[in-house]
Amino acid sequence: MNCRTIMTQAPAILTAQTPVGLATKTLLSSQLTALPVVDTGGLCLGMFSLHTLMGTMLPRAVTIAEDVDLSFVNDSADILRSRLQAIAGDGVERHLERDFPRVTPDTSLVEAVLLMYRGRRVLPVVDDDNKLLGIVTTWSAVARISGKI
Amino acid sequence: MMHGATAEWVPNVLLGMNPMWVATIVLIGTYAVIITEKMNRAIVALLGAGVMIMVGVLNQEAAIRGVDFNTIALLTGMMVLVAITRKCGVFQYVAIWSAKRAKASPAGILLMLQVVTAVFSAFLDNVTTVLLIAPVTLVITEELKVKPYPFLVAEIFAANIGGTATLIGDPPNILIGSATGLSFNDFVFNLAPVVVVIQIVSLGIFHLLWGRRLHASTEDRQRVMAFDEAEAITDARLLRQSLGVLALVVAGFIMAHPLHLEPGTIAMFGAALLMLLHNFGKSAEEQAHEVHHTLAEVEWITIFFFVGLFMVVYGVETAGVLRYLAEHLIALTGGDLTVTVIAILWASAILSAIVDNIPFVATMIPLIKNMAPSFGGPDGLLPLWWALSLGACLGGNGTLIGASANLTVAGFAERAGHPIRFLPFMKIAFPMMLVSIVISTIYMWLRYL
Repeated sequence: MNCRTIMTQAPAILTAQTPVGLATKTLLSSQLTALPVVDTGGLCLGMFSLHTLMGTMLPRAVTIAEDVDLSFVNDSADILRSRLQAIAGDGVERHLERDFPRVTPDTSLVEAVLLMYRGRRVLPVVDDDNKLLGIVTTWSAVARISGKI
Repeated sequence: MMHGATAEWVPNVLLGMNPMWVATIVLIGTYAVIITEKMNRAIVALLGAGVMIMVGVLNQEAAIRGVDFNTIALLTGMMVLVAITRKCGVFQYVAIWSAKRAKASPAGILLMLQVVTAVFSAFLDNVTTVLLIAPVTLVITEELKVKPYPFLVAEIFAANIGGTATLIGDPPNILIGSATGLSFNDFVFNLAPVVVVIQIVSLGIFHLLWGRRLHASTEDRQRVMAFDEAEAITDARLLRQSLGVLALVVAGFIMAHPLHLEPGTIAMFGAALLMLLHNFGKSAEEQAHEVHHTLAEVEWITIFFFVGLFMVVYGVETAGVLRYLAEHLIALTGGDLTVTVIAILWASAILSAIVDNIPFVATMIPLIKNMAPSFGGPDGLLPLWWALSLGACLGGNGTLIGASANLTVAGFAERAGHPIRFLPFMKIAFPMMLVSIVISTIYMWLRYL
């Protein structure tokens, strides 16, 4: 059994130029934690994720120094929202995760499940040329492996 | 002391080659590769040390004798102390507290963060200091909507200036102190006065250059004023333990001479004591986990770099190269103390702005020691040690590659989207570094010459 058996079609695919505001709406309506981003040739550039959006709501220092603590900051929801709005017009290309792990249809299930166990809820499935073929999600993996779907 | 007795080992170089030439070639080769930064400096230094042994300039016993374990223990002990202490959030607390004392005015924060950085840097490694201060600085400047560039550059300067003031503030001072037996108090009494003057001048220059032009809206300043520094303290018990042990360690440094203790022993004992307190009452498994993580935060690259470097320099010393160079340097300066002091101060500053000051100082120490007969013995060398320290530590401010702290801050700035470029930095930094060396020259002249 390999990723081919648990792969599904992505509910939505973002392009590099999709504005972050629109990408956020699409991501939320997909009910996934990340969506793949492709270039005009369909090659997978990376993933646009809720994790990325969380990072943009925080002071940038957090994304620079991992162990920085922000317990002393009292920013309101309005301020966090204003940070999101400030990048709403940017193309997702500027905010995607490029080093997101990818799998191929032939990747073993164990390897894919391990990646998801380590925190990735959605994995892009690509061919040998990095062309996006679909996605694997924690939901599809558990459902199909357990035989509940 | 840096090196033990050298009498036992006589270089026995392959094919009967001249040890002086072989050792010099290994030293230059090691330096050259370190300067290119193509290869990690710890690897290069260890390889250089290995070559010194392989070719017969040293044997293993002599090479190990060349390692200054007092310096290694002092560095490692302080790294462990900081690794544990930083967990309680005290450094963030002080940075935020200082920003609020300045009423969140950008100019005031620029000034306060320099002072905090300089003070921290006097007691911590410079890189550690900027690693603690730079992220908080980025949070504050983002809230104020001002560019972090002036703050980060000023912190680089403060870290290198503050580190000059004490025995433990900067690796060159650790090397000098360990090799000469000069105490923590000796460094404070001889270097702190001029460091305070240089830091005040630096504060003034940065205020005129940037501070007076920095402005933030009342609303943005209120957001910084709303920071709750007490929330930065994540572990009050650890805070009490850490501050208690740090106070003991500093007291130990001050009392080192009457207690007949080396700084390495004091730092390592303090590190062990804080680890004991931090792990007290935890299960064996938790202790193993904690100790593993604490020791993993020791900068092993730096430690092994020092180990390799000590061996390379000891090889050069054993081969007689440094004695030869010292005699020629004395001949060049005519044995005049004033000329020698000024030459060492300025040459150290210029070279340290370009190359890593640690290998430079490691090489200069035995070279200066060899000058003792010309200046009436070890006591006559004291002005030379202060000149070396001031030149090597302050020279690091001259360029972006002059000190590790500079590159660390530059890395933060780059990722924050406000890169610090080599030439723009140098245009400001090099003249400012020269100002600090002019002040140091006047100080040396008035106090020692």
